[in-house]
Amino acid sequence: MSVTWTTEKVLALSPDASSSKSGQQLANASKWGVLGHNAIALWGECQGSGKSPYRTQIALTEPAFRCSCPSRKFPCKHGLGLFLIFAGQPDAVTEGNPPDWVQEWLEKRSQTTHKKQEAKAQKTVDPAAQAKRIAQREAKVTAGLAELDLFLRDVVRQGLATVQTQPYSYWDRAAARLVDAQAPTLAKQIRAMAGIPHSGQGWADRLLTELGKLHLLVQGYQRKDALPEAVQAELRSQIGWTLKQDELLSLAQQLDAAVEVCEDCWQVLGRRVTEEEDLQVQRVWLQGKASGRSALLLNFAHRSQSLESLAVPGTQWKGTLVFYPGLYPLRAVLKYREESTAWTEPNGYATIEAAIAQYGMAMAQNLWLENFPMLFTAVIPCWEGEVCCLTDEAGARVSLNAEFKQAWTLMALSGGHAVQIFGEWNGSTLLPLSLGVQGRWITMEMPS
Amino acid sequence: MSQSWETVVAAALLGTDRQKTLPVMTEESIKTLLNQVDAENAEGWVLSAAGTLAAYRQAGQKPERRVERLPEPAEAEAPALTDAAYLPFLRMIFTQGFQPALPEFLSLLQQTGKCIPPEHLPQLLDWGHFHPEVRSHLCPVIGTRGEWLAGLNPKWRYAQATPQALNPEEWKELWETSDRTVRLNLLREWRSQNPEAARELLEATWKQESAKDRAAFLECFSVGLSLADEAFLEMGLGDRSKEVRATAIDLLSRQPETRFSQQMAFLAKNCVQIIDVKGKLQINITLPDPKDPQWQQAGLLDSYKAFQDRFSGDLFIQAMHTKQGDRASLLMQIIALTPLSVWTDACTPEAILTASTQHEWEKILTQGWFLAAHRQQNDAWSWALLRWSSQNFTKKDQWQLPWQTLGQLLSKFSQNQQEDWIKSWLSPEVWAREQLELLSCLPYPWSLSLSQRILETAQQFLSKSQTQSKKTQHPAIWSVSALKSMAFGLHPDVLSQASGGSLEEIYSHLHVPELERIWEVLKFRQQMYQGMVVKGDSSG
Repeated sequence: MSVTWTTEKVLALSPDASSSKSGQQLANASKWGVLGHNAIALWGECQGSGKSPYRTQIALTEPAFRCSCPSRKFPCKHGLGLFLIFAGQPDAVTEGNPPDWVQEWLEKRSQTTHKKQEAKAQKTVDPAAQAKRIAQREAKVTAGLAELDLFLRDVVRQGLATVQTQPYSYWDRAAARLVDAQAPTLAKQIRAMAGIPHSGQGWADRLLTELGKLHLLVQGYQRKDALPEAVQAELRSQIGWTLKQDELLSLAQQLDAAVEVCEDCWQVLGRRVTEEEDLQVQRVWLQGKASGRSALLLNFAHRSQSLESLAVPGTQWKGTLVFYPGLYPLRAVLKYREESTAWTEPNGYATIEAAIAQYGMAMAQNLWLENFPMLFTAVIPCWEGEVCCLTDEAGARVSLNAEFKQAWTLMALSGGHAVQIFGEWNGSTLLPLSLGVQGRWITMEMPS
Repeated sequence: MSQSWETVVAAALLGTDRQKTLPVMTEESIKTLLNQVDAENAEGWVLSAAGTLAAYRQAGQKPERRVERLPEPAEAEAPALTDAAYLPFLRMIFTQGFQPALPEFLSLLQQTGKCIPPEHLPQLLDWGHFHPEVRSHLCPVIGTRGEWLAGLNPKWRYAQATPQALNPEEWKELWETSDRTVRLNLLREWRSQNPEAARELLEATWKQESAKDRAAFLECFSVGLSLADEAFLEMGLGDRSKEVRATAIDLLSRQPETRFSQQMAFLAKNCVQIIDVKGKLQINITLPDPKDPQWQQAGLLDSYKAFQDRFSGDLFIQAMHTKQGDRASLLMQIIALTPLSVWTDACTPEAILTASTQHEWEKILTQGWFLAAHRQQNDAWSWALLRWSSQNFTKKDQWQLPWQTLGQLLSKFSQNQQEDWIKSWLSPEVWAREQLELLSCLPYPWSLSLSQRILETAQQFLSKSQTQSKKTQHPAIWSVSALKSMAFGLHPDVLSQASGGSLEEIYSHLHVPELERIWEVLKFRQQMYQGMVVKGDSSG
């Protein structure tokens, strides 16, 4: 094992604060019947409320989790608890051969990887049926966008001041029509707009910004055939018309020019799990050691399922990513990865100005960019009145997102000295996800 | 640039219905940019211009500048950060509800000579803010970083190495801008440094404070209390809020010299006469009567009204009231507010308490003296009341002060004195009585000798009850809260393997679900001691 698992690293895997808490409650060897590990796996039996104990297992290489409990959180509290015991009190876990139920899972796991690859190779698509499906959806989307176009114009015709008095249903109706039109990403944006008229000072600027960008998207999509391929791809993905991972990987295999394949040593800088309606969304930010390239791995799971695999902030591994085509591509899928190796100091922006300038470059290429990864190598957390900020030697500052509740933890870790901070920049505030100091990489826990 | 943006926002706010003509852009660069915008009508133009300009603005933004001055950075950490192996214990304390073991963890950490890693400081400093009893354990292990951090947050002033001396202006500023808990701490701190100035500080904002806050602030006057406060406290007697009046009475009665205490002493002497009859004390009682003209003459009626509502919410007094009648409960209130020195001119508290045993008015007298001893923080009387009570614990027909009451008196003494008192009466006979709950009033962890004594007594009780009928073996006769305090209180050495067996025997006897948790606490503490002390010793 080239990675030492610390409590810190394990807690970084937790989907939310309440899972961390219950995981830590279970990080007590006396609550476990069986506890064992070998070089590649870790397992345990934990007595829950049911008759038979929950069987929890962890494949250490990725890590991957499995548990027989019904929790929809991933990893569940048992997985976290088991892993925490292993990290904190390794003596409590005896080394040995895995029991059958662990062995079976491990075998199945290696088989599935093979099978998936085979299946991919064998998968035959009926081109006629597929073309028909695509055409049907295309027609729906086109109709939906035409309606959205009318809606946007209607907003401006009435005036934002009038729209401010509209109830939520005004926006919700428009959003629902977009859902019917199979443009879910746009529907989400419309729903998000509903809150802006009541968000206080500057609301008109914020609302008009969103309306304007959405209008450009609609305009662009309506005459997309005249635009370059990368722009088309971006427009499609903004509308929610995304490639499946398999499709992307097979495009990469065919050496499609629009699809970029990047091999590097990837450093996991940050991770964030959010819940959207019935979905859990995991965002993992990577940065290539040699290329300096940022990448975002997105995983979705229905709330009743578990997210497939996890990447731990503060680890790095060699691997190949395939980027989704688009403007300023960030989103990628993992094609192949090796085992984690020891963490090295990541590269980032030396000044806040450089980071903002890079964001400007990115915006100039893709004006629909939502969250932009920023790693500062030397910033000091500080207060400006009631707002927590990061500042640099040159006296520039960025404000932290109001949702971020761990300002004092940042202050404590920095002690007024410059530290590394990684976070998501939304164009006006930063949401810190991790902090690096003296070789440690510490994940900020998100409120659940 | 921003001018053009504002023009577009204004157009959008108003709506193209109301303003048919398109705004004119004055900035040349923007004109060129917007010329490329495909605009077939006014709405389309406003939207396109907005989208383009918004993106343009976002892409071209410059970082904001810092305005406030940065605090001096923290100096390098003097003690090394704690061993990562200890942190799981800290996490378990908070996640498993083992918070009573926090002071213990902190002192163990202090013994290792290391300090808390910075990421845990905010949580612990907050804990110390709400739990003052933890502060003396916490402050030694927060390290240079913790002291630095505490200097940035008014809530954590208590943890600063030397709280920076504030001038009156700064006090005033903090006093007027902080939240309630911080203000309470500030007021206490300032009372201890400069009681006069602190009173003036409060007087200045007194009228704007809510009733709840006024009572809480007034309570801080117990720090640095002196006769100089009398006028202010007397003003409190006439306050609109009952809580404020009650607090004012409490504070006035703590000083024998106040006009209020003098009035009470006058009344008390009229009601209770302690006389020496051939070397034996005798207590004669005359019930007080507010209709007595003397009351009017001594100007007592106002004070009487004030303290009548002081006690009207007290459940115990209400119970007494119905049993003993108005005048009896009035007697107790008078005793409770009378300076204790009134009684001990010629005799000791012990002698007086002995004389009150089996007296017709025993409950009234002892309850009144308890309240007075507690309020006036009178050690001689508190100790006498504790001794007197414990002598009577095993007597069958003897009325007892409730254990909670005794616990309040006990908390004022040093740990040694507290433990000595417990040892003076601890026996298998007391084991099944409610007085065992007093164990939960002792600070954790207990001394080795007391812990051993408790275990021995528990075993004696166990073997005794095993030989008796099966009924007494039922765990219900064990006080769960006493067992819980044992889990947090027993000295680590009795947790070690040697005597751990007996402990296990005790607990295994009581294998009921609610006790499993208690057993977990014990095991946790065992692990903590083994994990922290042993490793700490070997490393240096």
